[in-house]
Amino acid sequence: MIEELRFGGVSVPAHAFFVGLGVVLASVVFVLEARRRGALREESLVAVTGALVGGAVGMRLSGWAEHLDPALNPGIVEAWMFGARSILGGLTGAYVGVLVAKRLIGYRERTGDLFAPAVAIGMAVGRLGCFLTEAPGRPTALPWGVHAPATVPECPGCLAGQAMHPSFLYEVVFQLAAFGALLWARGRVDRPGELFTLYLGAYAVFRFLVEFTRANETVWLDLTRPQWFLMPGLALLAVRLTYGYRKGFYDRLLPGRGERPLLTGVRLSPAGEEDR
Amino acid sequence: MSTPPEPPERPQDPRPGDPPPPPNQPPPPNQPPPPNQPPPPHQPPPPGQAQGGAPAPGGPYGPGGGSGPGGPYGPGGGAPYAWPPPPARQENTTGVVVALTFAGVVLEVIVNAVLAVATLAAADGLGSHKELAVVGGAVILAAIVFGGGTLLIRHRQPWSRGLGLGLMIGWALVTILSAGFCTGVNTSLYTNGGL
Repeated sequence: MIEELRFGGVSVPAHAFFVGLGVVLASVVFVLEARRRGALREESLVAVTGALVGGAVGMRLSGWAEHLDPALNPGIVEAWMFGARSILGGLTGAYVGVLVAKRLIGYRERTGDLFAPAVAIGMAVGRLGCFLTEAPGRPTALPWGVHAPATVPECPGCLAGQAMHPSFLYEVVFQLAAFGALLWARGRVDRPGELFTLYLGAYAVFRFLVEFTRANETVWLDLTRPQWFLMPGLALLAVRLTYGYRKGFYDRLLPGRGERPLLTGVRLSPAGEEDR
Repeated sequence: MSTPPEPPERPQDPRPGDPPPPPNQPPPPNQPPPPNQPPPPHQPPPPGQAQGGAPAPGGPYGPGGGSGPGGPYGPGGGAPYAWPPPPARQENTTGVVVALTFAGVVLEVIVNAVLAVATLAAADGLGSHKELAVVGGAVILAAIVFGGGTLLIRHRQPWSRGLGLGLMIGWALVTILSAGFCTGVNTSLYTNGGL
């Protein structure tokens, strides 16, 4: 647990430092991706504004709906002031924020593909801050388990003397792999928005699984709150990805399907879709 | 801020295999116009040039099309068959908007810091209800950022749009990255007895 980083004589909160570094890197990747796609324009900036404002609101207010029983939840002011900084709440808020911002300016083009690699690299860096400042995970006997140093007394959820899963490092590895995969796939997925859908699907599955190594409280059936939150999202994403798979949106990512011959009586429309 | 309108479709664009244009249409673009006549309107290339072959050179609105994979009715590639009409020339203000966005972020941080000092000063006089000062400060800051930002954006000038967006981005970044000053997210401030 390293609460603060020291640069010369200046101490900086470790969590905020890595989150800030992640935001900067994500901004750079977003600009590069927007330039590559010819979308470096004002409407994209509006979408970024929506994402940041929505993300900031979402990450704080997620604590407002922490319990199914409303009586157990904090008030909106209390959730705002003292609520957790939830990544899932932030991502959901950012998604809604982009939709609202685009609706306000009447912008109809999909922008998710611009955000996908930026979010992946930003979260990879930001999670380093979580690893340094939060309880790393559940106990494990695996050789890469990490110990909380006894010199750091303030580690809620840490188990003294016991190795724990470095669950945030698992996520760092996943996000870096996702970033590489997105760079590889971006030239193979032509349909706007599908790259973002693929990233969301992959992250939702990963996050559901990695929760089994996290130190979060289990609330029902040995599942944590994020896992219950992800349940309906996973179902929706499964339906959406199945639809995309059947429509052939991901054919060029899949060996054997990319060279799928046209069926007899099938012709290509100008948009590249099959007309029967 | 508005999205440029989509170019209208050209239902009269010829397709491969269509009969040649009637004589009262302007000549194809590879023939010089007769003297004392205005240049012909923007026309697609003739079918023979559009089907397959070498990639077309870049035009004034972007690079030319590359060699495509080929469809069921012959080789693909070449230039897109129907070029959209040239869009109306618009002044590019993105640079101004982006520059003023950064200025807006800095402005928000300054406003935030000033309001934080005012909030702390106000909290001193509130006895046991110091959190009211924080809530008040957060509400005032949100009103300045989102009310003022919205007004600036609606002003429709490039500088004002950038400044308005920058104010909102600055508020979000401060909320995400820091203890919050006056965005109301001041956990460490309260727990350390700052108020």
